[in-house]
Amino acid sequence: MTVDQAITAAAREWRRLGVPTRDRQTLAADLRLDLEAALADGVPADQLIDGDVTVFARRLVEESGVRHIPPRYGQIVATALAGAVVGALAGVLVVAGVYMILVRLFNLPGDFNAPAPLAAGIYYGGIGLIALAGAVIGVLLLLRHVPAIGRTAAAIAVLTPLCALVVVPLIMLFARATDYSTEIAIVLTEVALSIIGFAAATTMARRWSLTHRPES
Amino acid sequence: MIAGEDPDRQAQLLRGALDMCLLALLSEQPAHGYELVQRVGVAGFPSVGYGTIYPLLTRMRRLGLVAQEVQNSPAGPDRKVYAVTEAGRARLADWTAQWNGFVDVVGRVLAGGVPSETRSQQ
Repeated sequence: MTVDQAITAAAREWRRLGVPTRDRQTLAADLRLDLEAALADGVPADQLIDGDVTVFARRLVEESGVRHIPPRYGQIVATALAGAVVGALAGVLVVAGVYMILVRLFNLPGDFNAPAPLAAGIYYGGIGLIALAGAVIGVLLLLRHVPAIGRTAAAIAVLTPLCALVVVPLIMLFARATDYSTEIAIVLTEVALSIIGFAAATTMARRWSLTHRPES
Repeated sequence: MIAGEDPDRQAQLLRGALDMCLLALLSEQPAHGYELVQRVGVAGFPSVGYGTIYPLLTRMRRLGLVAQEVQNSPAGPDRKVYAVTEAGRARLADWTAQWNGFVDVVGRVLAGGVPSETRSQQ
């Protein structure tokens, strides 16, 4: 392992642990000086560290007193997902309720037909937005004790629609390729793709909120 | 390694004393990281590597017991040299006294030197 590889592996672990950028740079610069000096004495980095670089990097962060925040990816993804499911169920009711109210308020001509993509967009988009609100509110309420959760929730609100721009067309392509089948395996695959996309967006949001948080 | 020791037991004992040993070794003469690893090995702890020593040095720097200075090298890369600060010397003196007292007590217990009255009361 070269000095660069050791530093990169350690920096990756510090990033995963939520160590702020400036502290990561300081730790890396300090470590590099030692590793390069040892290499000049004929001792390569892997021989000097003699073990798992990630374990070494974790220990170094603990001993250095650098303030870092545990990422808790699993807990945050699970909470956001649960909030999104509740939000989606509420969304179905809300959209149906709004539709009924609009039908009562506006007496549309009998031959009126909204374009299918627009109708589908409003219907699924409405449910999706309420599901997203459920995820954000769920994370904010249930994980309010978790550090940097406000920034994480804000990032979820921004990244999820962006992620949907990629994932939804993929699901639509998949549905088209399977002839819009309603077989259970096909539907479950579509649901799984949605969950994976949402989990990825939530994970990226948490990661971003930890690695780009303001210096204190 | 000290002869006749179970490595796990040795590691446990060393855990509470290694920072003190590092301060003592650095108080004799400042050293850079790898040099300190070698000194620790020569002192009798060859199994203690850089992966253990460097985080401890980082903690002692944070506590102000050790200072580091980057020295330019005419041949080769710059080197960080660690030295004990005044606070570090004071702390080493405290730790040494504490350690000596601890060793005395443990030594007496192991030698069966606890007064018989105390033993009968327990």
